[in-house]
Amino acid sequence: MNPHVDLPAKAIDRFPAPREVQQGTFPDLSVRSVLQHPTRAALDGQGRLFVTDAKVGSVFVLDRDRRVVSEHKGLGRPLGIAVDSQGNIYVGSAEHRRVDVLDSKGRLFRVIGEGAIQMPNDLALDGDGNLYVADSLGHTVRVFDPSGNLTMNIGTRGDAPGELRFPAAIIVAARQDPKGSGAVELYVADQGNGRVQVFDLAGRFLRTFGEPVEAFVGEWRGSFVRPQSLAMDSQGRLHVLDVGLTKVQIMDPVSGDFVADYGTLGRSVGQLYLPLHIVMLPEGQVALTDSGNRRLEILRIPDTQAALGR
Amino acid sequence: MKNQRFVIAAVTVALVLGQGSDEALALQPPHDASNTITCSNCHFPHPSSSALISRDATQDVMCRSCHNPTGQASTMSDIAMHVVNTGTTIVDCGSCHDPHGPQTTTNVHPPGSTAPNRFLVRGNTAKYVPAALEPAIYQVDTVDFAFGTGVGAPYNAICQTCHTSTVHHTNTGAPDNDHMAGLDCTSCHRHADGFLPQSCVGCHASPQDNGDGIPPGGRRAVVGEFPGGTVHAHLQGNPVSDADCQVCHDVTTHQNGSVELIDPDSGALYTFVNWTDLGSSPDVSDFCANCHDANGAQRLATPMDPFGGGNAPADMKSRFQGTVSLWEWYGDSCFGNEGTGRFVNSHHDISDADQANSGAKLECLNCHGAHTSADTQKLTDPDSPLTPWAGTVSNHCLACHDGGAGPGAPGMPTDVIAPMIDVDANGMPCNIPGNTCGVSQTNVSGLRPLNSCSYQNAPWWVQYNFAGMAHFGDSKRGWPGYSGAPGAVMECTTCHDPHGSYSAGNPAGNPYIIRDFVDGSSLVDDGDRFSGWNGPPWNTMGQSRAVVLTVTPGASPPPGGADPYTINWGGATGLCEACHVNWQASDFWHSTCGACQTCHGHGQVWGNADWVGQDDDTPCP
Repeated sequence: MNPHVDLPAKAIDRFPAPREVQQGTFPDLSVRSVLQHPTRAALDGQGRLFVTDAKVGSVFVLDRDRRVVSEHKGLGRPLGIAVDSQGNIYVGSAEHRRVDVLDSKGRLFRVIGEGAIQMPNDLALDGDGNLYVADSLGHTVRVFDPSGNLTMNIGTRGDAPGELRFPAAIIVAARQDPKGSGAVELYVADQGNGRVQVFDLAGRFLRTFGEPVEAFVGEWRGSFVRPQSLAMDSQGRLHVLDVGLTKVQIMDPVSGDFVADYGTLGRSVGQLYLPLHIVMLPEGQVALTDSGNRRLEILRIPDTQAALGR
Repeated sequence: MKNQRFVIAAVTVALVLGQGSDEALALQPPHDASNTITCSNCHFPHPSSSALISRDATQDVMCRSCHNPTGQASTMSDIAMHVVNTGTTIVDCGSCHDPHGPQTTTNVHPPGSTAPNRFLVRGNTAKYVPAALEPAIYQVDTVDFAFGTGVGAPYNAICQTCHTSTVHHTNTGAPDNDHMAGLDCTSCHRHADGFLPQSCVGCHASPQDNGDGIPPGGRRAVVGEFPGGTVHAHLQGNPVSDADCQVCHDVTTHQNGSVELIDPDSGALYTFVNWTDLGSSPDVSDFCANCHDANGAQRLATPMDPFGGGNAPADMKSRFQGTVSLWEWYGDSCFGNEGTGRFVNSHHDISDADQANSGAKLECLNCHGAHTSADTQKLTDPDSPLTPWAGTVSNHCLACHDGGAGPGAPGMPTDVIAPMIDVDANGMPCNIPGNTCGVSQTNVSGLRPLNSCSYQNAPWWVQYNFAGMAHFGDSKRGWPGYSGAPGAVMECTTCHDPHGSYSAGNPAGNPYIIRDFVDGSSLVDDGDRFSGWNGPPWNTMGQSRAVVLTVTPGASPPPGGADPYTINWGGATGLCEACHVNWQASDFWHSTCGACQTCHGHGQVWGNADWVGQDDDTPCP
């Protein structure tokens, strides 16, 4: 196992609750939307950030300068979010237990998985346009083809390898191994079992790493309290956001070895309070939905290579 | 593996707690295996560690790691912790909820029945809040249980176990106990908001003081502080609303007694409790300046119209950008050199950097009332910050610039600290010629009075009567032969900009915050009252023009003998010639002088005695 390194992440910016947005008219200031509980987030091909707010019931769209440029309202309790190459926005609706598909203007034009999904907690798209839904209360990952047909469920309720218990988050990412195979895999934050599990895109179990650890004391590195969100950085390292630890662990996505960590509990700039989602940004940055602080926190990824003397 | 961990955890918790109670250890719905919860999810079973759950924020995060919209308890996620007494009193989740408790209770009123307790409200509230009344008695309500409504007494449900000293906590209907009678506490004080009342203007329409000292003096009737009608500097015609409040204030932790301003650009919070905090921290002027700059409130989508009334924030921040770093040291032909021997700023010392340099403390809110300012009067009484200023602008300046009772007792208004100066054992500034102070030197708070720069002339702090000089009231215009003199009465702000003297063309500004543009258009020159001389000295009266004061640095700081810098007050771009362009040719005395300020200070400008050597004091730069 690699030597572990505690690295302070440098806060480079923070984006608190925008009081109003630039779309629509607001005859009464009291009805203007506030980013109260940033929940999940996704990046589109233009570098724009889409943030769901489960308490406001909206998706906020932030441009590359992280200014709110629009708000798509009336979405109930939006959870997971993904944006495809055409600019369509996929939003997991906890209220309707389905995935709503909005066009780039925010107009609902399709629903997916109605009657099949219990809690669309996190969403991901693969290169073929298939939609992956972390159905947390269904204890499985549901896969829909580009036409919206359910084609596969990955994992069933349980704690054996390949089984899931409240899968909270997923990503579809290419693994950068020494052979350069670039295999695209499905990573699942198996929150109820305190681990990360990896499947191929055909739904076959590949590997698992991490184990549950108690919330407050003990050796937590490489283990999890509540693995909540996943992201793969440009160096092929897996970032696992743990809402129970209030930390992000950087891990080897193949061995599961712990590399480094960042994130501290608090209210100050650069600190986190109930972070729920992590998204990779260009130029070595990550965005975290810092729900307890009602803001987005933009952090610079610690330079683990330098810290490890590589 | 997990089963083994569970058994170890349960046994160890029993040992560590030493309670031996099955009830204390039992896992009951919903906190049991039905939701994949085991002891070790919340308790660390190692014998060397505490088996108790951490308190406060750590516990809050642990509970909310499930009780959030993405968590396993997402249906009960509208919660926020009840921060009390600025966090010194911990009221966390476990204070009111018993995670080991059953979802029914027999602790109801009237007794002898059972009621649902779906939210696991704790009966033994004094376990974590020692002063709380117990048991909490739940009223049978139409749904689940109530928070103090219903028929009969006592009404001490969960909220009232702690809120015993508020005048309205029991809802008996009696006077002072009729606050929202018939409503659940949480209908207004929602758990999702940390029990913060939902309406800003609803609570702050009237004062309230429950005697707990938080905040000092109780709750303010803020709504009434805003002037009525359409005259407020911020709201511009709209009655103050909750949304207006939240343009400037963040209310996330308001229930703990603090008031938080949210930065208009970055969203950073400025936390303070009461007005008196402004004398120390936080630097609220940064908050003001980040909106009153060139780009307004960047946190908002309409940054130049934050209140929606079309009132753009005036750019004041740029006025504070430049400063000069010259020893304040000046001289005159009659009394020699004098000064305070400190660096001077080309603006009031608003920023932390300036305050660190001078030792002064001044904030925007010392002069302006964020709530009380009107379009017609943006100034507030420095000694009574919630009272609009009723006097002249010049007298407002004198609230600080009257010299007080001398160094060490400058008589500053509330929470204003004068710059620090060095004085000797007699209270005389050290940097006067021949007075080196030595070991008796003391650094005290002081501010030069506007009337006199001559610290060695005791009593140097005597306040000047501004009614006796031409630039203010009672000039020579009323004297025989001067009937045609200008009729305008000037204020300090005619020549000085209290926000500073920075401009793009003069980025360093100038000492003494002289305006970079003097508007003399209203100052009418209506005649020649120097017939036979060289014409009126103010023949540009009625005009306006830019002012750039050139400053020539000296060779050494004081007390080095010679005046270490020179300000060209009367040159082609100077201040005086904005109105008095013909001054040097106007008479014999002027023809031999190089600068107005050599002979004319605040105390001599066409007053009863208009030049040094007469009855008034020595000139100031």
